[in-house]
Formats: sequence, C-alpha cells, structure tokens
Amino acid sequence: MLRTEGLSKVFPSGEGELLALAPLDLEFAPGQVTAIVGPSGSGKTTLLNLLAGFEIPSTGRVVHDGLDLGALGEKRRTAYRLAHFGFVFQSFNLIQILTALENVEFPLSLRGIPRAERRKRAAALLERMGLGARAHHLPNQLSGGEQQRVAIARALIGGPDILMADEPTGNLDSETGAKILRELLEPASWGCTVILITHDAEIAALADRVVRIRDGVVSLPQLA
Amino acid sequence: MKAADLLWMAWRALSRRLTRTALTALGIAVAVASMVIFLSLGQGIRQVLTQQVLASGPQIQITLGGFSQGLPTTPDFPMSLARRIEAAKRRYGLHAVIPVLLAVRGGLNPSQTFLIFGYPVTSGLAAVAPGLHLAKGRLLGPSDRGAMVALVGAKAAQNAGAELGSTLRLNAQSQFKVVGILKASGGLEDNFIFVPLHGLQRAENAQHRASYLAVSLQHPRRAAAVARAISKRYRVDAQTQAQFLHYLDHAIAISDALRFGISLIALIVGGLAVANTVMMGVFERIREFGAMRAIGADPGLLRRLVLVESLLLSLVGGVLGIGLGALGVLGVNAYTEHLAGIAAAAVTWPLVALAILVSLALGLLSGIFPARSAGRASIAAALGRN
Repeated sequence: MLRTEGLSKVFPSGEGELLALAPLDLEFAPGQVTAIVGPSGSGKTTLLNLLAGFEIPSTGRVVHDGLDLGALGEKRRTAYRLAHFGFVFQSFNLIQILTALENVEFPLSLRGIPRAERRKRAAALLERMGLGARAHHLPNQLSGGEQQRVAIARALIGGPDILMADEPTGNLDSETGAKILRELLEPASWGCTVILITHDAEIAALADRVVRIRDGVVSLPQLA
Repeated sequence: MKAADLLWMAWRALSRRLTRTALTALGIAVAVASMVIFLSLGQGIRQVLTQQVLASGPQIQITLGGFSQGLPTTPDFPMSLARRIEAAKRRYGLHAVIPVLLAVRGGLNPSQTFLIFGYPVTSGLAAVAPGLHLAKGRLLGPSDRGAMVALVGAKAAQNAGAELGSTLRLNAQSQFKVVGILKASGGLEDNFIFVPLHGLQRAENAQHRASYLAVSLQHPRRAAAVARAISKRYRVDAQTQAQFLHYLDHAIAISDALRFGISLIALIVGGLAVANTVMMGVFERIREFGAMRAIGADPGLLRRLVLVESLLLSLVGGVLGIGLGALGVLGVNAYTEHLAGIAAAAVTWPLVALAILVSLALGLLSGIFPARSAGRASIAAALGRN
C-alpha cells in the first residue's frame, strides 16, 4: 500500500512562495488504477514527483508498505525505486544509444542481473508486446507508439509494485493511445498499483478511481 | 551495474556519435603524437650516446671543469699536467692516458657542423675510437705527428663533400688535407674528423693544452676509486663512464622536461577538446540521465559512466597518437640519418606507457567536471526539460 500523509509542496516564487500541492492524505491500494486528473499546471506532475521521490516534500511524507520513503537516503531511495517502481513518461525517455531490447534490459543491468538472463527476459517481454521484430532497432527508428510500448516494457521488466505513468498517451494518436492504455492497465490485474497522470477525461474514465487536482488542491477522491 | 556493462555502455555512447568522437580523438591523437615525437628525441639521443660511451668512450675522462657546460671543448687542460698523470700510470693502474683536443666548426646548417678530434697519432685510432675501419686512403700514423692531415668519418666526408686529397679549411691560416675516409659505422664517430693533436693545437693556437684526458684502466672495476684518487691528488675533475652517463642522462632529462613542457600546450588543448565533447554529451543527454536516475541509476553510476566515456575517448586518442607519433619519429629519423647517420629519435616502451598514462590522466581531468554535472542532474528538472 502506497499512501501520503500531509504531503505538500511549496516552491519559492520571486519574494513569495507558490503552493504547488496543498497538504494531502491519500491511499493507493494494490491492484487499483488511480487517475490523477487536472489541467496543465494544476500540480499533477508535482504530485507524481513527490510520490516517486524525485522531489523532497515541503511537509508530510510518502509511505510504502510501512516504509517512509523520505527517511531513506538518496542512494537507498534510488535502490528502492529500482526494486518497487516502474515509470512511463509522456516523451518516452528511452536511452537513445541503446536498442529497444537494451532499453528494456537496462533496469535489470542496474540490478546486476547477468546479461544472458536479462536478455532472455527482455526479449520475451518485447515479444509478448508484439515488438519482437523491432528489438534491435534504436529508439529513433521506432514510431511513437512503439517507443511508448518499449518504455512500458522497461517499466514492467522488474515486476514493479507501483506503475506510474505521466501523460502516457500525450504524444500519440487516439488509436495507438488506446492500445497503450490497455497495456498500462493490465498490470493492475496482477496486483500492481497503477497511477495515471492525465488531463484526458476519457482516459480517466478507465480508472478505478479519479483524483482531481486544481491549483494544487486535490478534491475528494471519488469512485469512477 | 557491472563494470563490463558500464564500459560497454560508455563505448556505445561514443560510437553512436562517431563523427564527434573521431574528431575529438584526432585532437588528442595530435597532442599525444607531438608529445611522443618531442620525447622520442630524448629517448633516441639517450640510446645513441649510451651505446657510444659504453662501446668506445674512455673509462675515465679528466677535465679541469667537469662536464657541466657540455662537451669539454675549451682547451684548458695543460699538457704538463697530462704528463704528470701519465707518469703516475703504474701507481693508479692506468693503461693509457690520451690527451684529446676538441674543436667544433659549424653554422646554422646542422649538416655543416663538424666535430674535430685531435689525438696523439702515436696512440693509434683504435685507442680513441675503436671499431672504425678505413674505407679509402690511409690511417694516421706516427709520421703524421704535427702534420696538417685529416682522417674523415663517412658522414662528415659526405656533408663536407670531402674526397681523398681535398682540403678542409679550419680557419684563415689552417687547413687539413684529407688522407683517409672511414667506413660508416652507424655511430656518432661517422661525423668526426680525426686529426693529429699537435696539428690541431697549432691551428687552434692551443699549444701545450688539451680539452680533456681519455684514460683507460688495467682494472676497469676500480674506475670509481681511481677517479676519486686522481681528482683529489691533481685537483681535476675525473669522471667515470657511469658518472658521465649519469650526467648525460641528467642533461637529457632536463631537455625532456623542456620538450614535455612545450608539448603540454598541445595536451591542454586536447584535454579541453575532450572536456568540451563530454560536456556537450552530458547537456544533450540530461533528459536521458534524468530518466536513468528515475528508473534507478544512482548519481555515482552516472558520474562513472561519463568518466569512463572520457577515459575511453582519451585512450582511443592516445593509442592513435602513439601510432601517429611513431610515424613522425620515422620521419625525424630519416632526416637525422641523412644528416648525421644516426637515428636521433626512438619510441621506447616506457615512452609508450607514459603516452598512455598521460592520455588517461587527460581523460580523467577532462571528465571530472562533466561527470559531476551528470551526477547532479535533478530528475524532475531533467525530465521536465524539452
């Protein structure tokens, strides 16, 4: 279970301060798909950054399975993220010097898994996602949809407890976006907590729960 | 991440930007090549002189002022003192005491610079320059005592355009007739002109004086003790072969340092090129680094990755530079062999090792700042960057 306790973020702005996220208590249950919805600049990405430990909160904490992530040092928090989290970004953020297969392998290489084993696992996952024939292509040789599927494979290869996706279909056409969404929602069926950041109401409608955010203030979660 | 994976990833980063990598490596290669060529001169000269001194140099050289000013060309050694030392031959176990007068004639053109070597013709050429053989004419003998005749080394004859019977003009009053030309030995002696001591003394207006005494011993192992005893007894500077070689080595080391200093400018420029390339790579990939950090790469890994890229780039440049340097050395040697019959430059294993070490040091220094920048990339900022 991932939860926030009084989590907030304030950024300095000129001589004053800008409230990016008002204090928030929220729970994300295993197997649940949560859509965090709001217009641009509402604080969605700030919330994701705090949940993932990319940024330090101004107040409050993020707790996963009883462990306060903020209390971990930088190195341990990075290792924890590697072991428990998976990320999908709007701009795919694949490593341009690596092929699709190598990108999917990358989190396993960070864990020190032998090359032969990680290659086998990555190839199998790409095959399952219909990208077997594109495994040895570089990111710039893949379409946007293919790149995003590689990014999803990279996020899932380590078997994460939590999958976070920030505007995952923002750069894709609607047909490709729909396919990508199906792949993103599937991990929830095996108990993975899925958190989708989006400003698209249609995507939000697919989630188990929608959290609306505006000007850094989260409205009460409601069942979709 | 395992070291092999890190190395492979760094290599991938460089090979994917092939043009930039190649141009930067070429910049380092030129810098390292210039260092190799500069320092190879010292290595070559060291080798030539060491072989020369060990093969034909005297076991002890006696001067008034030592060798700190270079070759003892000043004719300040009194022949009376030479005779006193010769008289004590048995006491010190000396085999032969040969007074030598050196004169240098030269101009701006190195091929027209000659070392004239005056020795007592009664001693025979083998006593001062063993291993030389006659090509044309005759050797100098006892009947040439005081005569204005010359035996010319092969390279000196070539450079001076000397033939048997031609004359070599030393100054307005003195000229030597060439009576013999030596076969090329491949050593420095090929550039010498050998003349009778008394003739050179007269030509140089240095009657009753020599430049130094070349001494051979009955028991060469006692050279150090004999040199000390002679120095003390006659208040002269007697140096053994080992001391002379040490002096040469020291002098060459100083010139090495000077030449290294000159090549350092090129190395600094090469280092800045590496730093620029690696830094540009970091800026271009800052978003990628952000994603890697988000996935689970710690800052230390990114620092190591950038540093390894920098080291690899420098290593490739260094190896290329050694190759280029070796080609340059071939060119230098072709020139000095034409000029003086010797290979003045040499690429030795210690020089190769130094070039590799300097390249790696260059890579390390150039990579530190970009590596720090990569390690400090904020995930949120890096991911938010367009």
